[in-house]
Amino acid sequence: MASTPVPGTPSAEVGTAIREFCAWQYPQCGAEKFGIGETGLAEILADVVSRRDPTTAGTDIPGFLASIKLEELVLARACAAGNDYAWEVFLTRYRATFYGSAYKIVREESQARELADSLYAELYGVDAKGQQRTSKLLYYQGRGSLQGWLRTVIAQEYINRYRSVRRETSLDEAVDGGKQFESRPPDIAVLDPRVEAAVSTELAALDAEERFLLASYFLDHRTLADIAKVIRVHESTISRKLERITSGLHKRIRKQMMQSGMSARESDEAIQDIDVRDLRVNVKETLRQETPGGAFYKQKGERG
Amino acid sequence: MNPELCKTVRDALARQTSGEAHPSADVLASFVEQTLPLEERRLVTDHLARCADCREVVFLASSAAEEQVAEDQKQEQELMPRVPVRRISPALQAQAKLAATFRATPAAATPAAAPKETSGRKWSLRLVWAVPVAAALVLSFGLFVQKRSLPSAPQLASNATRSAPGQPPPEMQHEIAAQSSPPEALMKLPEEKQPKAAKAKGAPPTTAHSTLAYEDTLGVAKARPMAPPPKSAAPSEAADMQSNLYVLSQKAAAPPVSTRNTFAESATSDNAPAGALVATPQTSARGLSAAHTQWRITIDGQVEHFVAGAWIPALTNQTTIFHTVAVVGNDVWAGGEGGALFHSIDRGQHWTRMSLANASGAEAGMVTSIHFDDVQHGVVTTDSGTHWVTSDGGATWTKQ
Repeated sequence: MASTPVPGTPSAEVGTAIREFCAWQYPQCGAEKFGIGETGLAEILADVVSRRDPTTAGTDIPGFLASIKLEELVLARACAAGNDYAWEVFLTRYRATFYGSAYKIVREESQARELADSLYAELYGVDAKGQQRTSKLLYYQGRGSLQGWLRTVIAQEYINRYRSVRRETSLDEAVDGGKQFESRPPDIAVLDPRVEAAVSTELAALDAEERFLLASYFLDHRTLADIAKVIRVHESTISRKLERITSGLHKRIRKQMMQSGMSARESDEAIQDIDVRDLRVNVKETLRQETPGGAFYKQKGERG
Repeated sequence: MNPELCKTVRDALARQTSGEAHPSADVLASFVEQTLPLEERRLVTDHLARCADCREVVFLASSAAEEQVAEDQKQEQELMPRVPVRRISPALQAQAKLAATFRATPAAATPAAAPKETSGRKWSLRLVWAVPVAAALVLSFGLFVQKRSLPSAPQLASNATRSAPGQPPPEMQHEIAAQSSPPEALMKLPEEKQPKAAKAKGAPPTTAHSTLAYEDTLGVAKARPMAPPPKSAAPSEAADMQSNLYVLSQKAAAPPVSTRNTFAESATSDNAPAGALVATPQTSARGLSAAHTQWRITIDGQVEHFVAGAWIPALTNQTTIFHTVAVVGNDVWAGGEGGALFHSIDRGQHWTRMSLANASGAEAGMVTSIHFDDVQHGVVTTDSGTHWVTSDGGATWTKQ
């Protein structure tokens, strides 16, 4: 059975590890029933290994291979190759949850169905002209579960679609929302370079997870429950962590600013929300109107 | 708690951009499922902290996954409303068993619970509040009775002398056999003998003695006083039982049973075949939600899962003969011959073959016991007495 082309020839050491792994796992992974031989399985694994990033995934090839969801990877590749039995298995296992996941993400039945249908076509590998067959399932590398991958793909596709139609707001909606003559966003406040340096330094010093928590909570306005689901800890733990991170961050930034020569009062003011007096607002530019000539009453007076 | 972050810091946070390429859907899915290696997870988290797009994807996928799991659990709870025996402590297990004994005995049923069994759905709904109250009453009563009726050592000794010289009393014989015999010993019993062995107990299937799964935690079950003696075991049946005991004793050299596994008495459960090895979930921080799940190893070494009132085979595409199964929350571990070790993080929906290997080589022996204290920390024992220890949920193993 044809599999995806191998991007690069694996080294002898990697090749040996893959062959050993194949010999061990081939009888158990179900590749045989999908018409994938041991060589085909080795090619699939070589492809997966070559696509992984060694800087992030590590250099332990046997460990990496052992972490792969091999059965699901084999099923995905068999589906991508057009194996009918594999598609039967895939539909039996994932069809219901696929549509269910689409509905849970989109929250609207007709849109969810449309999204899922279009993704199904991509998974099946039918392009717009219905000629070339390049299944999206080839991108599944077996790192997570196939079901999780399908959910992620649905989420990505949903975001792409949302963004593509976001600008197409109807005039009625804009009028209802009072945004038909939306003003420009205000100019960015001028920051003292010492403040900026202190904030940047202290933010960079935070742990990745701490910055993720801050961004999720304060920028994306996620709830504690949402964040807790992703991190897999209790909401109260997230709450405590946020409390600790924010208070510690403010203290360290203030200390950094004072070390750079700012007074205590200046430091306190700097880490408060920006004062309107600090805004760089060009009043004349802001008030300038598109219509040339004088004010409305002047025009009216001239006409009268 | 309402933590605040000043606008200056929020703006600086928002200005952070990720220069590198976005992680693939595969990696993001793995991040959501928490199956990434530690270092890779840290790098992905770092990317997510700076990339609003990927954060959006992760949160959407995570919420969909969470709802899926919640729906599955709800469906399972609706289908299997009975309370399982949980592994909290031997004392609590004994209490739970006592409570089950009295629940299953009509004479001991509390008045509040009695109309629930005979009346219709309305009654059941109205008396929902009575269930926990009745359970608490039954538990305390059971504890009281247990304290009162525990036989002393001289009593046990006299019982033993009455039954047969050098033999424990019949009820103890059966219990000890169930406790000390290895699973494969039971699995290899002749099929026709096992139902007879169950009949030899003389207890109907509805009694607590027959419906209870015998925990193999020694010392607790042995001291249980409520095990009904064989009422009228015919000589031939008694002989069968003796022969069973003999077969079991012949297998004494076999590896010990995992203390996390539970025997279901042959022909005691309505659906359980003879000699099935049933695993109930271990208690863990995040595992109580899946406590209704039951797993077992059948007589022919197949893993089965109790779903929707029936035992469904799992890992059907494997040729491995399984010997042990352990459950910790949503995580299920199954082990068998040839060092085979399978792991599922979603209560058996998907399985991953784990590698019991280190730099010196891979394990080829038979996995006889799997013991996990929590999702991360566990020990797998093989028939050669080798212990493989993991502290990262099975990603790496250390041979001991």
